[in-house]
Amino acid sequence: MANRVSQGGLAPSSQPTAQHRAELRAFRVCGKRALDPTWAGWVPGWEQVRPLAAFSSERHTLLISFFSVLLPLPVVRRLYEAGIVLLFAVVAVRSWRTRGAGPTVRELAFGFALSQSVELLAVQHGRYDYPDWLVYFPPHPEWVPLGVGLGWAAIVPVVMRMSERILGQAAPAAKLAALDGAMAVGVDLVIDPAVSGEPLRMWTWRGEGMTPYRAWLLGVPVFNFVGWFLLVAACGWQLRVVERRSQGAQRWWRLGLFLACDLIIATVVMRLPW
Amino acid sequence: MVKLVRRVLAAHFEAVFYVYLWANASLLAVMVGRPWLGAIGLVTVLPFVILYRRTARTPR
Repeated sequence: MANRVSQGGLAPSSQPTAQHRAELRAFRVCGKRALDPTWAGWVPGWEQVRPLAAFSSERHTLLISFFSVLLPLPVVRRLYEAGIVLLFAVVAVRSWRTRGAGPTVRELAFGFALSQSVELLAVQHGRYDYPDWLVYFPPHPEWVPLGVGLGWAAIVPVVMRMSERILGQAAPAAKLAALDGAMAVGVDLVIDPAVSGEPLRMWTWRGEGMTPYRAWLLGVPVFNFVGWFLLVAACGWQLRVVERRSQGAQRWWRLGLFLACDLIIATVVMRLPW
Repeated sequence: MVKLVRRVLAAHFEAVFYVYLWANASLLAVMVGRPWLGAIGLVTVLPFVILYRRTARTPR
């Protein structure tokens, strides 16, 4: 059972039965009381403290006692995936309205192309894995979900605009980029431990054939946070340099050149002993 | 109320979006049984928001 779930395999969920609801009520009442191991005992470390949530591997159901809500785990996963696409759409519309078509398309396209390519490289290098997402891009091999690249593409312009408001639009591109990266890491320190850990496991850091990590923070490899900083900072710096110093079609050529350089650097970074 | 929300979104969409990412991740953290994760954002997210708010108020 544990193996099936740790490999990311999710069977169709079923509705919680009256018995499970009763057990959940008991769980809520007893707070930190350990659950019956025959029911939910497979989760590594579950027996320590899970005061607000319980997870039944038997039915792959995430039972959330908080607010008495019961949500099947696959539903939470799909909601998360759909939510990213929705956020991307919102950011795209906002950027289109306030900055116009040209900068919007360049920022979103470059953000998506760079992040999706780097993610593909990382998965190929066995750094992490994205099991059981709905839509992958490219569809074969099923390595990186479309939502991941779209999520990056949505975050980059948001932190870029915030940095420009904080430091001023005329600030040096490198300084703005460093702030972009720091802000992205700031929010990822909450996102990644919650989403990549049990029981959601939207992405996994350990597995057969994957590269082991040495340094961890909050259950997430330090490599991840360094990667977030580098990727967002590089994206922000390169987009600003191109917007400030190039015109017309030259911008696309320069972005293409930056993309190629970034992929070389990313390959080197991924080979380091993290 | 709707007007206020629209006005805030129009002026500070990025900051609202940034805080939303934190809030959403914090909610997920609560759902998966690690509510303390959201509190990390008090140190890693909130300073940027405060900085943004201060500079947004100061005319350049």
